[in-house]
Amino acid sequence: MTQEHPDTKQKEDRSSLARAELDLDKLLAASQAFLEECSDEIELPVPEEVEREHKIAEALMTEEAFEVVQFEIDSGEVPLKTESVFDKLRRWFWIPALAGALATGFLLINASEKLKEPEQLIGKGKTGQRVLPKKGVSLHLGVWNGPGVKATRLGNGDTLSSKKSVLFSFTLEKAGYLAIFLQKQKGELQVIYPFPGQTSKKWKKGFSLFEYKGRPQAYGLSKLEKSVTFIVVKTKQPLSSKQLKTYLRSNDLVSQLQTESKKRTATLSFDAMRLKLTGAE
Amino acid sequence: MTLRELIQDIDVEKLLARCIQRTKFERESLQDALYGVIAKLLSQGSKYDNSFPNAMALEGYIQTAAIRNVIRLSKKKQQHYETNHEGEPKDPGANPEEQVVRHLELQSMRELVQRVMEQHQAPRGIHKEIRQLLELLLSSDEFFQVRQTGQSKGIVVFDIGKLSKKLRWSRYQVSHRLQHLQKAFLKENKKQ
Repeated sequence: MTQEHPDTKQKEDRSSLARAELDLDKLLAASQAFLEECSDEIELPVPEEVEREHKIAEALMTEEAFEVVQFEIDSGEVPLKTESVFDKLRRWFWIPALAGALATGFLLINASEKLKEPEQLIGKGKTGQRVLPKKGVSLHLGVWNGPGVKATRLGNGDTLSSKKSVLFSFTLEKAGYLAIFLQKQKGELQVIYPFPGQTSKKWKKGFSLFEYKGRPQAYGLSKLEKSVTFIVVKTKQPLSSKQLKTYLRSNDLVSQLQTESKKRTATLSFDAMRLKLTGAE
Repeated sequence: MTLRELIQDIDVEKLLARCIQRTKFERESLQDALYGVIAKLLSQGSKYDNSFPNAMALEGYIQTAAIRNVIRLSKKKQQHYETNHEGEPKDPGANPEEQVVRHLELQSMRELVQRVMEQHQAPRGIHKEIRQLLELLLSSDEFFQVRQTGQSKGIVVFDIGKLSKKLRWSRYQVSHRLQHLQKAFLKENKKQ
Protein backbone atom coordinates (compact mmCIF):
# COMPACT_ATOMS: atom_id res chain seq x y z
CA MET A 1 0.00 0.00 0.00
CA THR A 2 1.24 3.42 -0.85
CA GLN A 3 1.06 6.16 1.76
CA GLU A 4 -1.24 8.97 0.71
CA HIS A 5 -0.42 12.56 1.37
CA PRO A 6 -2.46 13.78 4.42
CA ASP A 7 -3.63 16.92 2.57
CA THR A 8 -4.97 14.85 -0.30
CA LYS A 9 -6.77 12.53 2.08
CA GLN A 10 -8.31 15.48 3.97
CA LYS A 11 -9.42 17.09 0.73
CA GLU A 12 -11.01 13.87 -0.53
CA ASP A 13 -12.84 13.36 2.77
CA ARG A 14 -14.11 16.92 2.67
CA SER A 15 -15.48 16.69 -0.83
CA SER A 16 -16.92 13.25 -0.14
CA LEU A 17 -18.64 14.57 2.97
CA ALA A 18 -19.92 17.56 1.08
CA ARG A 19 -21.52 15.31 -1.52
CA ALA A 20 -22.98 12.89 1.04
CA GLU A 21 -25.11 15.67 2.47
CA LEU A 22 -26.25 16.83 -0.92
CA ASP A 23 -29.38 16.46 -2.91
CA LEU A 24 -30.22 17.74 -6.34
CA ASP A 25 -32.02 20.86 -5.16
CA LYS A 26 -29.07 21.91 -3.03
CA LEU A 27 -26.74 21.40 -5.94
CA LEU A 28 -28.91 23.44 -8.27
CA ALA A 29 -28.96 26.27 -5.76
CA ALA A 30 -25.27 26.00 -4.84
CA SER A 31 -22.69 28.68 -5.48
CA GLN A 32 -20.01 28.31 -8.12
CA ALA A 33 -17.31 28.00 -5.47
CA PHE A 34 -19.19 25.18 -3.75
CA LEU A 35 -19.81 23.32 -7.00
CA GLU A 36 -16.13 23.53 -7.87
CA GLU A 37 -15.10 22.41 -4.40
CA CYS A 38 -17.23 19.29 -4.38
CA SER A 39 -16.31 18.29 -7.90
CA ASP A 40 -12.62 19.02 -7.97
CA GLU A 41 -11.65 15.36 -8.35
CA ILE A 42 -14.18 14.63 -11.04
CA GLU A 43 -13.12 14.32 -14.64
CA LEU A 44 -15.81 14.64 -17.24
CA PRO A 45 -15.60 12.70 -20.47
CA VAL A 46 -16.44 14.72 -23.57
CA PRO A 47 -20.19 14.09 -24.16
CA GLU A 48 -19.80 13.88 -27.95
CA GLU A 49 -17.01 11.34 -27.51
CA VAL A 50 -19.15 9.16 -25.25
CA GLU A 51 -21.84 9.19 -27.91
CA ARG A 52 -19.31 8.33 -30.59
CA GLU A 53 -17.89 5.52 -28.46
CA HIS A 54 -21.33 3.93 -28.57
CA LYS A 55 -21.52 4.46 -32.30
CA ILE A 56 -18.13 2.76 -32.72
CA ALA A 57 -19.32 -0.15 -30.59
CA GLU A 58 -22.51 -0.43 -32.59
CA ALA A 59 -20.81 -0.26 -35.96
CA LEU A 60 -18.05 -2.65 -34.90
CA MET A 61 -20.27 -5.19 -33.29
CA THR A 62 -23.02 -5.13 -35.87
CA GLU A 63 -22.21 -7.95 -38.16
CA GLU A 64 -23.88 -6.12 -41.04
CA ALA A 65 -21.25 -3.42 -40.87
CA PHE A 66 -18.82 -5.83 -42.46
CA GLU A 67 -21.23 -7.69 -44.57
CA VAL A 68 -21.55 -6.75 -48.11
CA VAL A 69 -25.15 -7.41 -48.85
CA GLN A 70 -26.94 -4.50 -47.36
CA PHE A 71 -30.51 -4.66 -48.52
CA GLU A 72 -33.00 -6.22 -50.76
CA ILE A 73 -34.56 -3.94 -53.27
CA ASP A 74 -37.96 -3.77 -54.83
CA SER A 75 -36.91 -1.97 -57.96
CA GLY A 76 -33.82 -2.20 -60.12
CA GLU A 77 -32.38 0.98 -58.71
CA VAL A 78 -29.90 1.28 -55.91
CA PRO A 79 -30.23 4.54 -54.01
CA LEU A 80 -26.89 6.13 -53.31
CA LYS A 81 -26.09 9.31 -51.46
CA THR A 82 -22.37 9.44 -50.81
CA GLU A 83 -19.41 7.49 -52.01
CA SER A 84 -18.19 5.51 -49.04
CA VAL A 85 -17.01 1.95 -49.37
CA PHE A 86 -20.19 0.82 -47.77
CA ASP A 87 -22.07 2.80 -50.35
CA LYS A 88 -20.01 1.12 -52.98
CA LEU A 89 -20.75 -2.17 -51.36
CA ARG A 90 -24.36 -1.12 -51.20
CA ARG A 91 -24.29 -1.29 -54.97
CA TRP A 92 -24.37 -5.02 -54.44
CA PHE A 93 -27.81 -6.23 -53.63
CA TRP A 94 -29.71 -9.43 -53.39
CA ILE A 95 -31.99 -10.46 -56.12
CA PRO A 96 -35.25 -12.08 -55.07
CA ALA A 97 -35.09 -15.83 -55.45
CA LEU A 98 -37.38 -16.28 -58.46
CA ALA A 99 -35.85 -13.41 -60.36
CA GLY A 100 -32.46 -14.85 -59.46
CA ALA A 101 -33.43 -18.12 -61.04
CA LEU A 102 -34.55 -16.27 -64.17
CA ALA A 103 -31.28 -14.37 -64.26
CA THR A 104 -29.28 -17.55 -63.74
CA GLY A 105 -31.12 -19.32 -66.47
CA PHE A 106 -30.79 -16.45 -68.86
CA LEU A 107 -27.11 -15.94 -68.27
CA LEU A 108 -26.51 -19.65 -68.42
CA ILE A 109 -28.25 -19.89 -71.80
CA ASN A 110 -26.33 -16.91 -73.04
CA ALA A 111 -23.06 -18.21 -71.68
CA SER A 112 -23.57 -21.50 -73.48
CA GLU A 113 -24.57 -19.59 -76.64
CA LYS A 114 -21.38 -17.66 -76.37
CA LEU A 115 -19.45 -20.88 -76.21
CA LYS A 116 -21.22 -22.09 -79.36
CA GLU A 117 -20.29 -18.97 -81.25
CA PRO A 118 -17.46 -19.49 -83.71
CA GLU A 119 -14.42 -17.78 -82.27
CA GLN A 120 -11.19 -16.57 -83.74
CA LEU A 121 -8.01 -18.66 -83.72
CA ILE A 122 -9.02 -20.92 -86.56
CA GLY A 123 -5.85 -21.94 -88.32
CA LYS A 124 -5.31 -20.83 -91.89
CA GLY A 125 -6.73 -23.25 -94.37
CA LYS A 126 -8.60 -25.18 -91.70
CA THR A 127 -12.34 -25.19 -91.46
CA GLY A 128 -14.85 -26.81 -89.24
CA GLN A 129 -13.77 -27.37 -85.67
CA ARG A 130 -13.94 -24.35 -83.49
CA VAL A 131 -10.97 -23.51 -81.30
CA LEU A 132 -11.81 -21.88 -78.04
CA PRO A 133 -9.34 -19.47 -76.50
CA LYS A 134 -7.76 -21.07 -73.47
CA LYS A 135 -8.77 -18.39 -71.09
CA GLY A 136 -9.38 -20.18 -67.85
CA VAL A 137 -12.14 -17.77 -66.94
CA SER A 138 -14.88 -16.06 -68.93
CA LEU A 139 -16.84 -13.17 -67.53
CA HIS A 140 -20.49 -12.72 -68.50
CA LEU A 141 -22.48 -9.62 -67.66
CA GLY A 142 -26.20 -9.06 -67.69
CA VAL A 143 -28.52 -6.15 -66.91
CA TRP A 144 -30.78 -6.61 -63.94
CA ASN A 145 -34.25 -5.64 -65.13
CA GLY A 146 -36.10 -5.99 -61.86
CA PRO A 147 -37.83 -8.83 -60.04
CA GLY A 148 -39.54 -11.32 -62.27
CA VAL A 149 -38.05 -9.88 -65.46
CA LYS A 150 -35.39 -11.66 -67.45
CA ALA A 151 -31.92 -10.19 -67.31
CA THR A 152 -30.48 -8.85 -70.56
CA ARG A 153 -27.14 -10.16 -71.64
CA LEU A 154 -24.40 -7.59 -72.21
CA GLY A 155 -21.57 -7.80 -74.66
CA ASN A 156 -18.16 -6.20 -74.46
CA GLY A 157 -18.45 -2.48 -75.28
CA ASP A 158 -22.23 -2.37 -74.86
CA THR A 159 -23.89 0.83 -73.69
CA LEU A 160 -26.30 0.99 -70.81
CA SER A 161 -27.79 3.49 -68.41
CA SER A 162 -25.84 4.17 -65.27
CA LYS A 163 -29.14 3.81 -63.42
CA LYS A 164 -29.03 0.11 -64.17
CA SER A 165 -27.35 -2.66 -62.25
CA VAL A 166 -25.36 -5.54 -63.60
CA LEU A 167 -25.28 -9.22 -62.84
CA PHE A 168 -22.09 -11.23 -63.04
CA SER A 169 -21.54 -14.81 -63.97
CA PHE A 170 -18.43 -16.76 -64.82
CA THR A 171 -17.41 -19.85 -66.65
CA LEU A 172 -14.30 -21.39 -65.16
CA GLU A 173 -12.14 -23.94 -66.90
CA LYS A 174 -10.99 -25.21 -63.52
CA ALA A 175 -12.12 -24.39 -60.00
CA GLY A 176 -10.35 -21.41 -58.48
CA TYR A 177 -10.52 -18.16 -56.60
CA LEU A 178 -11.81 -14.93 -58.12
CA ALA A 179 -11.21 -11.24 -57.73
CA ILE A 180 -13.28 -8.64 -59.55
CA PHE A 181 -11.81 -5.22 -60.26
CA LEU A 182 -13.69 -2.22 -61.45
CA GLN A 183 -11.74 0.21 -63.58
CA LYS A 184 -13.27 3.62 -64.00
CA GLN A 185 -12.97 5.91 -67.01
CA LYS A 186 -9.92 7.66 -65.62
CA GLY A 187 -8.17 4.38 -64.89
CA GLU A 188 -8.91 4.39 -61.17
CA LEU A 189 -9.13 0.84 -59.90
CA GLN A 190 -11.27 -0.60 -57.20
CA VAL A 191 -11.70 -4.12 -55.89
CA ILE A 192 -15.35 -5.03 -55.75
CA TYR A 193 -14.80 -8.68 -54.91
CA PRO A 194 -13.59 -10.16 -52.56
CA PHE A 195 -15.47 -7.91 -50.18
CA PRO A 196 -13.45 -5.89 -47.67
CA GLY A 197 -12.02 -8.05 -44.95
CA GLN A 198 -12.92 -11.27 -46.72
CA THR A 199 -11.23 -13.61 -49.12
CA SER A 200 -12.74 -15.15 -52.18
CA LYS A 201 -14.53 -18.44 -51.83
CA LYS A 202 -13.46 -21.25 -54.14
CA TRP A 203 -15.60 -21.08 -57.27
CA LYS A 204 -16.44 -24.34 -58.93
CA LYS A 205 -15.52 -25.39 -62.44
CA GLY A 206 -18.06 -24.44 -65.12
CA PHE A 207 -20.77 -21.81 -65.01
CA SER A 208 -21.60 -19.90 -61.82
CA LEU A 209 -23.83 -16.92 -61.25
CA PHE A 210 -22.23 -14.49 -58.85
CA GLU A 211 -23.89 -15.22 -55.53
CA TYR A 212 -23.29 -14.32 -51.94
CA LYS A 213 -24.67 -16.49 -49.18
CA GLY A 214 -26.61 -18.40 -51.77
CA ARG A 215 -28.33 -15.37 -53.24
CA PRO A 216 -27.58 -13.81 -56.63
CA GLN A 217 -26.06 -10.36 -56.52
CA ALA A 218 -26.36 -7.33 -58.75
CA TYR A 219 -24.05 -4.33 -58.80
CA GLY A 220 -25.37 -0.76 -59.11
CA LEU A 221 -23.63 1.50 -61.58
CA SER A 222 -24.91 4.86 -60.35
CA LYS A 223 -22.29 7.57 -59.87
CA LEU A 224 -19.99 5.84 -62.31
CA GLU A 225 -19.14 7.89 -65.35
CA LYS A 226 -18.78 7.33 -69.08
CA SER A 227 -17.31 3.87 -69.04
CA VAL A 228 -16.33 1.10 -66.71
CA THR A 229 -14.31 -2.03 -67.17
CA PHE A 230 -14.94 -5.08 -65.06
CA ILE A 231 -11.89 -7.30 -64.79
CA VAL A 232 -12.15 -10.73 -63.27
CA VAL A 233 -8.98 -12.51 -62.21
CA LYS A 234 -8.93 -16.23 -61.46
CA THR A 235 -6.13 -17.69 -59.38
CA LYS A 236 -5.27 -21.06 -57.89
CA GLN A 237 -4.95 -19.53 -54.44
CA PRO A 238 -6.88 -16.55 -53.07
CA LEU A 239 -5.11 -13.28 -53.77
CA SER A 240 -3.51 -11.83 -50.66
CA SER A 241 -4.22 -8.24 -49.70
CA LYS A 242 -0.63 -7.46 -50.73
CA GLN A 243 -1.24 -8.84 -54.21
CA LEU A 244 -4.52 -6.96 -54.46
CA LYS A 245 -2.73 -3.76 -53.49
CA THR A 246 -0.10 -4.39 -56.16
CA TYR A 247 -2.81 -4.73 -58.76
CA LEU A 248 -4.60 -1.65 -57.49
CA ARG A 249 -1.43 0.37 -57.96
CA SER A 250 -1.12 -0.77 -61.54
CA ASN A 251 -1.44 1.86 -64.26
CA ASP A 252 -2.66 -0.65 -66.78
CA LEU A 253 -4.02 -3.71 -65.07
CA VAL A 254 -5.13 -5.48 -68.22
CA SER A 255 -1.64 -5.27 -69.75
CA GLN A 256 -0.08 -6.39 -66.49
CA LEU A 257 -2.42 -9.35 -66.29
CA GLN A 258 -1.76 -10.20 -69.92
CA THR A 259 1.97 -10.31 -69.27
CA GLU A 260 1.52 -12.38 -66.14
CA SER A 261 -0.87 -14.83 -67.73
CA LYS A 262 1.49 -15.45 -70.64
CA LYS A 263 4.28 -16.68 -68.39
CA ARG A 264 4.89 -20.40 -68.53
CA THR A 265 4.49 -20.64 -64.77
CA ALA A 266 1.34 -18.52 -64.79
CA THR A 267 -1.33 -19.61 -62.35
CA LEU A 268 -3.76 -16.84 -63.15
CA SER A 269 -6.16 -16.12 -65.91
CA PHE A 270 -8.41 -13.17 -66.45
CA ASP A 271 -11.18 -11.73 -68.51
CA ALA A 272 -12.39 -8.16 -68.88
CA MET A 273 -15.50 -6.44 -70.17
CA ARG A 274 -15.96 -2.77 -70.86
CA LEU A 275 -19.31 -1.02 -70.66
CA LYS A 276 -20.21 2.47 -71.81
CA LEU A 277 -22.52 4.34 -69.51
CA THR A 278 -25.13 6.88 -70.36
CA GLY A 279 -27.00 9.27 -68.13
CA ALA A 280 -24.10 9.51 -65.68
CA GLU A 281 -24.55 12.24 -63.11
CA MET B 1 -33.49 23.00 -23.02
CA THR B 2 -30.59 24.15 -20.91
CA LEU B 3 -28.49 21.71 -18.95
CA ARG B 4 -29.90 23.08 -15.71
CA GLU B 5 -33.45 22.35 -16.85
CA LEU B 6 -32.50 18.84 -17.90
CA ILE B 7 -30.80 18.17 -14.57
CA GLN B 8 -34.00 19.14 -12.76
CA ASP B 9 -35.73 16.23 -14.50
CA ILE B 10 -33.23 13.64 -13.31
CA ASP B 11 -34.23 11.09 -10.70
CA VAL B 12 -30.94 10.64 -8.87
CA GLU B 13 -32.18 7.76 -6.71
CA LYS B 14 -33.24 5.77 -9.74
CA LEU B 15 -29.97 6.56 -11.46
CA LEU B 16 -28.03 5.48 -8.40
CA ALA B 17 -29.96 2.23 -8.16
CA ARG B 18 -29.19 1.55 -11.82
CA CYS B 19 -25.49 2.23 -11.32
CA ILE B 20 -25.41 -0.13 -8.32
CA GLN B 21 -27.21 -2.80 -10.26
CA ARG B 22 -24.87 -2.46 -13.24
CA THR B 23 -21.61 -2.40 -11.32
CA LYS B 24 -22.18 -3.79 -7.81
CA PHE B 25 -19.93 -0.98 -6.56
CA GLU B 26 -20.45 0.61 -3.14
CA ARG B 27 -23.47 2.86 -2.88
CA GLU B 28 -21.49 5.67 -1.21
CA SER B 29 -18.81 5.80 -3.89
CA LEU B 30 -21.37 5.85 -6.66
CA GLN B 31 -23.46 8.49 -4.90
CA ASP B 32 -20.36 10.62 -4.41
CA ALA B 33 -19.46 10.26 -8.06
CA LEU B 34 -23.00 10.98 -9.30
CA TYR B 35 -23.29 14.20 -7.35
CA GLY B 36 -19.71 15.04 -8.26
CA VAL B 37 -20.47 14.71 -11.95
CA ILE B 38 -23.63 16.80 -11.67
CA ALA B 39 -21.76 19.44 -9.68
CA LYS B 40 -18.99 19.50 -12.27
CA LEU B 41 -21.49 19.89 -15.09
CA LEU B 42 -23.24 22.74 -13.26
CA SER B 43 -19.94 24.42 -12.47
CA GLN B 44 -19.16 24.65 -16.20
CA GLY B 45 -21.96 27.18 -16.76
CA SER B 46 -23.53 26.98 -20.21
CA LYS B 47 -20.73 24.89 -21.74
CA TYR B 48 -22.86 21.74 -21.88
CA ASP B 49 -26.17 23.43 -22.69
CA ASN B 50 -26.56 21.89 -26.13
CA SER B 51 -24.72 18.65 -25.51
CA PHE B 52 -27.71 16.51 -24.55
CA PRO B 53 -30.93 16.25 -26.53
CA ASN B 54 -33.01 15.09 -23.55
CA ALA B 55 -32.91 14.04 -19.90
CA MET B 56 -32.46 10.39 -20.84
CA ALA B 57 -29.30 11.14 -22.83
CA LEU B 58 -28.02 13.20 -19.93
CA GLU B 59 -28.77 10.39 -17.46
CA GLY B 60 -26.82 7.94 -19.62
CA TYR B 61 -23.91 10.31 -19.74
CA ILE B 62 -23.96 10.97 -15.97
CA GLN B 63 -24.12 7.23 -15.31
CA THR B 64 -21.10 6.54 -17.52
CA ALA B 65 -19.14 9.51 -16.17
CA ALA B 66 -19.91 8.55 -12.56
CA ILE B 67 -18.90 4.90 -12.95
CA ARG B 68 -15.70 5.81 -14.78
CA ASN B 69 -14.86 8.29 -12.03
CA VAL B 70 -15.44 5.69 -9.31
CA ILE B 71 -12.99 3.36 -11.06
CA ARG B 72 -10.46 6.11 -11.69
CA LEU B 73 -10.58 7.30 -8.08
CA SER B 74 -10.44 3.77 -6.71
CA LYS B 75 -7.31 3.17 -8.76
CA LYS B 76 -5.91 6.42 -7.46
CA LYS B 77 -6.63 5.36 -3.90
CA GLN B 78 -5.36 1.87 -4.64
CA GLN B 79 -8.68 0.37 -3.65
CA HIS B 80 -9.71 -2.93 -5.08
CA TYR B 81 -13.30 -3.62 -5.69
CA GLU B 82 -14.55 -7.13 -5.27
CA THR B 83 -15.97 -6.83 -8.73
CA ASN B 84 -12.76 -6.40 -10.59
CA HIS B 85 -13.71 -4.08 -13.41
CA GLU B 86 -11.18 -5.67 -15.73
CA GLY B 87 -13.27 -8.79 -15.74
CA GLU B 88 -16.66 -7.12 -15.64
CA PRO B 89 -19.27 -7.20 -16.95
CA LYS B 90 -20.27 -10.82 -17.15
CA ASP B 91 -23.51 -11.14 -18.97
CA PRO B 92 -23.56 -14.21 -21.16
CA GLY B 93 -27.00 -13.31 -22.47
CA ALA B 94 -25.89 -9.96 -23.82
CA ASN B 95 -25.11 -9.60 -27.50
CA PRO B 96 -21.58 -8.48 -28.49
CA GLU B 97 -22.61 -4.86 -28.83
CA GLU B 98 -24.25 -4.78 -25.41
CA GLN B 99 -21.14 -6.34 -23.91
CA VAL B 100 -18.91 -3.68 -25.42
CA VAL B 101 -21.30 -0.94 -24.32
CA ARG B 102 -21.18 -2.31 -20.79
CA HIS B 103 -17.40 -2.21 -20.94
CA LEU B 104 -17.68 1.40 -22.04
CA GLU B 105 -19.56 2.27 -18.89
CA LEU B 106 -16.44 1.27 -17.01
CA GLN B 107 -13.76 2.77 -19.16
CA SER B 108 -13.30 4.98 -22.16
CA MET B 109 -13.02 3.52 -25.64
CA ARG B 110 -9.35 4.55 -25.69
CA GLU B 111 -8.63 2.53 -22.54
CA LEU B 112 -10.74 -0.36 -23.73
CA VAL B 113 -9.04 -0.54 -27.11
CA GLN B 114 -5.63 -0.24 -25.47
CA ARG B 115 -6.42 -3.16 -23.18
CA VAL B 116 -8.01 -5.30 -25.84
CA MET B 117 -5.17 -4.74 -28.29
CA GLU B 118 -2.57 -5.52 -25.64
CA GLN B 119 -4.34 -8.73 -24.72
CA HIS B 120 -4.78 -9.54 -28.37
CA GLN B 121 -1.03 -9.03 -28.81
CA ALA B 122 -1.49 -6.93 -31.90
CA PRO B 123 1.77 -6.01 -33.64
CA ARG B 124 3.00 -2.54 -32.72
CA GLY B 125 2.35 -1.14 -36.20
CA ILE B 126 -1.25 -2.31 -36.26
CA HIS B 127 -1.78 -1.13 -32.71
CA LYS B 128 -0.55 2.33 -33.69
CA GLU B 129 -2.76 2.44 -36.76
CA ILE B 130 -5.81 1.34 -34.79
CA ARG B 131 -5.19 4.09 -32.26
CA GLN B 132 -4.89 6.60 -35.09
CA LEU B 133 -8.13 5.31 -36.57
CA LEU B 134 -9.85 5.45 -33.21
CA GLU B 135 -8.81 9.06 -32.59
CA LEU B 136 -10.28 9.99 -35.93
CA LEU B 137 -13.53 8.17 -35.22
CA LEU B 138 -13.81 9.89 -31.85
CA SER B 139 -13.17 13.29 -33.36
CA SER B 140 -16.21 13.66 -35.59
CA ASP B 141 -19.58 12.25 -36.52
CA GLU B 142 -18.79 12.54 -40.20
CA PHE B 143 -17.16 9.12 -40.20
CA PHE B 144 -20.41 7.34 -39.39
CA GLN B 145 -23.47 6.76 -41.43
CA VAL B 146 -26.88 5.55 -40.47
CA ARG B 147 -28.48 3.21 -42.95
CA GLN B 148 -31.57 4.90 -44.34
CA THR B 149 -33.15 1.99 -46.13
CA GLY B 150 -33.33 -1.77 -46.35
CA GLN B 151 -33.04 -4.55 -43.82
CA SER B 152 -30.28 -2.74 -41.96
CA LYS B 153 -32.22 0.53 -41.69
CA GLY B 154 -31.12 2.50 -38.67
CA ILE B 155 -27.87 0.65 -38.25
CA VAL B 156 -24.75 2.74 -37.73
CA VAL B 157 -21.88 1.87 -40.04
CA PHE B 158 -18.47 3.37 -40.68
CA ASP B 159 -17.90 5.64 -43.63
CA ILE B 160 -14.80 3.86 -44.84
CA GLY B 161 -14.49 6.19 -47.82
CA LYS B 162 -14.14 9.28 -45.66
CA LEU B 163 -11.88 7.48 -43.21
CA SER B 164 -9.55 6.31 -45.94
CA LYS B 165 -9.43 9.76 -47.48
CA LYS B 166 -8.63 11.41 -44.18
CA LEU B 167 -6.07 8.83 -43.13
CA ARG B 168 -4.68 8.47 -46.64
CA TRP B 169 -4.98 4.74 -46.32
CA SER B 170 -6.56 2.41 -48.79
CA ARG B 171 -10.11 1.41 -48.07
CA TYR B 172 -8.89 -2.11 -47.63
CA GLN B 173 -6.49 -1.01 -44.94
CA VAL B 174 -9.22 0.87 -43.04
CA SER B 175 -11.56 -2.06 -43.36
CA HIS B 176 -8.92 -4.53 -42.24
CA ARG B 177 -7.92 -2.49 -39.21
CA LEU B 178 -11.56 -2.18 -38.19
CA GLN B 179 -12.01 -5.85 -38.67
CA HIS B 180 -8.91 -6.52 -36.59
CA LEU B 181 -10.44 -4.45 -33.82
CA GLN B 182 -13.78 -6.21 -34.22
CA LYS B 183 -12.12 -9.61 -33.92
CA ALA B 184 -10.21 -8.48 -30.82
CA PHE B 185 -13.46 -7.33 -29.22
CA LEU B 186 -15.29 -10.51 -30.10
CA LYS B 187 -12.44 -12.58 -28.70
CA GLU B 188 -12.51 -10.47 -25.57
CA ASN B 189 -16.28 -10.94 -25.24
CA LYS B 190 -15.91 -14.69 -25.60
CA LYS B 191 -13.37 -14.78 -22.79
CA GLN B 192 -15.79 -13.09 -20.42
